[in-house]
Amino acid sequence: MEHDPHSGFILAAYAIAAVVIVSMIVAIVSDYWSLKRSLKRFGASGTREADRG
Amino acid sequence: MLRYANPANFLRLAAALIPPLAALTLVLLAVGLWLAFLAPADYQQGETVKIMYLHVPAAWLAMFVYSVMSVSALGTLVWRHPVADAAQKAAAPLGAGFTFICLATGSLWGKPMWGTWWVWDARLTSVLVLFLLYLGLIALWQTFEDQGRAARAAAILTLVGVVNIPIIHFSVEWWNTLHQPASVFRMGGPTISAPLLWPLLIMALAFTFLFLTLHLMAIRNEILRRRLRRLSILAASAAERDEAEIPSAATVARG
Repeated sequence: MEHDPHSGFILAAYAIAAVVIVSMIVAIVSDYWSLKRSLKRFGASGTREADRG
Repeated sequence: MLRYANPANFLRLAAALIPPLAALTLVLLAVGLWLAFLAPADYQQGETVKIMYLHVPAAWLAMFVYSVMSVSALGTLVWRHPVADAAQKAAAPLGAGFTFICLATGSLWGKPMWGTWWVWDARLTSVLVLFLLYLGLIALWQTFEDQGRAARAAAILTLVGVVNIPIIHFSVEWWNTLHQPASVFRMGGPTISAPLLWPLLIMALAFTFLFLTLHLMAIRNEILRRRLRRLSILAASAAERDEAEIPSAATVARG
């Protein structure tokens, strides 16, 4: 692939896809941990009270 | 099925499904990328054909995610179900992400093969419209304080926008476009040879499982966010009640 005249385009495509996918994963996982931290502040009894949705 | 439409049951199901789905996604991505790396060069496009292993799965997912959102929109409008609302909201950023990958990799594939980054032909323009629809839906969710109203408004916009999906799919047949016609799912079978087709199918499966995993995780986040909002409201109203009781107790003590 290193001899291909268009290898820069191929690498750029894979780099962009990797950045977008990793950003989606990081955004969702960090959102989850921040929500868990906030919910912990209300304690377990409050969590049960809000179980209805 | 309806049992899991209950948010508490859904959280238990998500907790059980997310780890194996994430592991399967990782394995499929690793195998797909390895096969894509080993796949032979195309006789016309050379190694540039390797962009296909990202572009085509991203394009399929861009349309698949919108279809999932449309089904969720029906769940919101017909059954007014909170998990359907969460599924709609959680899918929009993922759809935007896959559509962006499709547009960016398509542009990077187009420049060396077509000699241009972009043309305003039917396929490219309709996919750009899909990307703008996703961005519009994400913005719409942020506009409303009341998430129930946001869900209904987003559901209507999603169902209006679903007309774009067959336009994207059939654009290469209905109009003269620079984009090639369908070469995998078509009458008469795929036109791609097996050594190039297998890595493509495995990458498509990997992208599909990636979406399913991230979607489950994002729906779980939305359910937790609603729970947090409910708890904040309960805490605020309890604090208000306490504040109202203290002056009245003071009045009783004085009397």
